[in-house]
Amino acid sequence: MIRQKHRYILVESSQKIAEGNLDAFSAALYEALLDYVGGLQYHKVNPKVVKLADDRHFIIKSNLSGCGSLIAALALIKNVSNEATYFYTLKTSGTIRALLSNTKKSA
Amino acid sequence: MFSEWKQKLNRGVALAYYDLVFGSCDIDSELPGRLGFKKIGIVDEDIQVVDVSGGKKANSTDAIAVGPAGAALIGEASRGVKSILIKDYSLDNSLVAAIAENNTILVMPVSDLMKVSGIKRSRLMFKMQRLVESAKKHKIQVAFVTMADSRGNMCSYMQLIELSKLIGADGDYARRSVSETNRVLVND
Repeated sequence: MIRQKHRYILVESSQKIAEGNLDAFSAALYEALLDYVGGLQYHKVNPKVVKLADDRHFIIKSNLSGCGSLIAALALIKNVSNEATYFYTLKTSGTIRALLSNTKKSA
Repeated sequence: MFSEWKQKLNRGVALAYYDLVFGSCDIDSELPGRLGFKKIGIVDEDIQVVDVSGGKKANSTDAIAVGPAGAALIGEASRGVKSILIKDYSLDNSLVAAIAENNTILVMPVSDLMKVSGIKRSRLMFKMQRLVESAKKHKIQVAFVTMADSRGNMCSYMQLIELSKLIGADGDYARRSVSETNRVLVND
């Protein structure tokens, strides 16, 4: 069986995300991503919001092959659930632990 | 210059990345570091932008000459201006030849992609891609900068590199441009 490799990306959002609102935010973000990445490429990206670091930072997982498309799409998204939002991708890593430890070091 | 850069990349030396934005972005001191840039240059502080379409000429050669492809920009390139931004991204072979001959930097403001949407964005992407591919063919240095006018149109160094790839640069070329070519623009 081929093991699927992933990348985890730490993203900063201009919109505050409440913990209870994460599922609704994720669903709106996936829809926006589908718009930018396109139906034919979406499966390559396969994005999933895995963790909320704080109210403005979250970690999103993608397939290794679609990581570039996800980063570009996050730069182009300016609206999530009818609210003006922009995203900065701060760091990428192969594991959540490395991503969070690097973030703590730099903070 | 390229081989030196390639050696750095192979040794795993962290590259310093640079961007150029307008003063209206209101950048605080920790924003460049957070976005992964060594320095974010500001238009009119680090480099002047001169619109040459109305017959105006850049006061010094240390500026970005902006205008539609044509005689005015060819004149600026021959005068030895540091960098050129083609307003409508149209491909003019004589202008590209003049830029290549004078070692002028071609500036590509990627935030233009963020200001339009749908079919307009796709068309703009095609035009930019055609221009970048022509520049690569003529061995012209291309500076991929955001030239954002608000925080919403700014992006991190990773996003800048990925957007550069969308408009025709390959991975190494994009990284080299955001690192080495942009450094020349922001005077670091």
